[in-house]
Amino acid sequence: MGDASAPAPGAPLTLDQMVPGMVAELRRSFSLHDLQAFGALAPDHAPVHRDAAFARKQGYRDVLVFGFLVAAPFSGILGDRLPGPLTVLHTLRFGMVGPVYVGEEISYRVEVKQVSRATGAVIIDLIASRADSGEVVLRGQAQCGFRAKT
Amino acid sequence: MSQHPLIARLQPIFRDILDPKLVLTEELDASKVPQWDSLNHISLVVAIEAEFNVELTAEELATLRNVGDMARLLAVKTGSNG
Repeated sequence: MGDASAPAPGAPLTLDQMVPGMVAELRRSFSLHDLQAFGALAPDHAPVHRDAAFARKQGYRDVLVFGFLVAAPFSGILGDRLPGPLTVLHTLRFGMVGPVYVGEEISYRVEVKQVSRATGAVIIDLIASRADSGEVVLRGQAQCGFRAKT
Repeated sequence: MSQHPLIARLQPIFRDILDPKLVLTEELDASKVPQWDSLNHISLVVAIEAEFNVELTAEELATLRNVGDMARLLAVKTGSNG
């Protein structure tokens, strides 16, 4: 679901092909089953992700999707598409700007901000927003690296 | 001995990535700063390229022995000492 500048699936990009402004996007939502599976895997048993009554008392309208789960699709975009399978994640920072609820469709977008050819590092801006309103729910940045000049 | 004028511009980058109390000198190198590991080295180069709006090459990086060498390289690449 990327735009014209997104890489074609199955065609790993090389460092020489990396250019600031390249973009990849996807959309997805999270089910109650996703929350249960992630909570068990993490493990994270915080009630705000499990107990709707507790979440409402905290001022939310329902249980919250885990922040790390909201961020998880970026792993797929970064690893599969942009910068792609020839890179690994070096650093990641992100902030949760708004709550995400079960069933909401979230739009994910990554954009190459900087390419350091001397080190093989690529700086990627990350943004996740509600697909219907465009309201941002997560903002961050990742540094990925090519293992060797490719 | 006076420091290269670009050291003052490099200092906040090194403090942000390595140590907020780090005092940058021309002689400083990775062996003297425990936090200066391979990952932070990449982050330093990326941040320096962005701050000075330059693109360094692997060959240029290989010639650098310390912060002073980096400052002198940046002065050449940017045509500026400050």
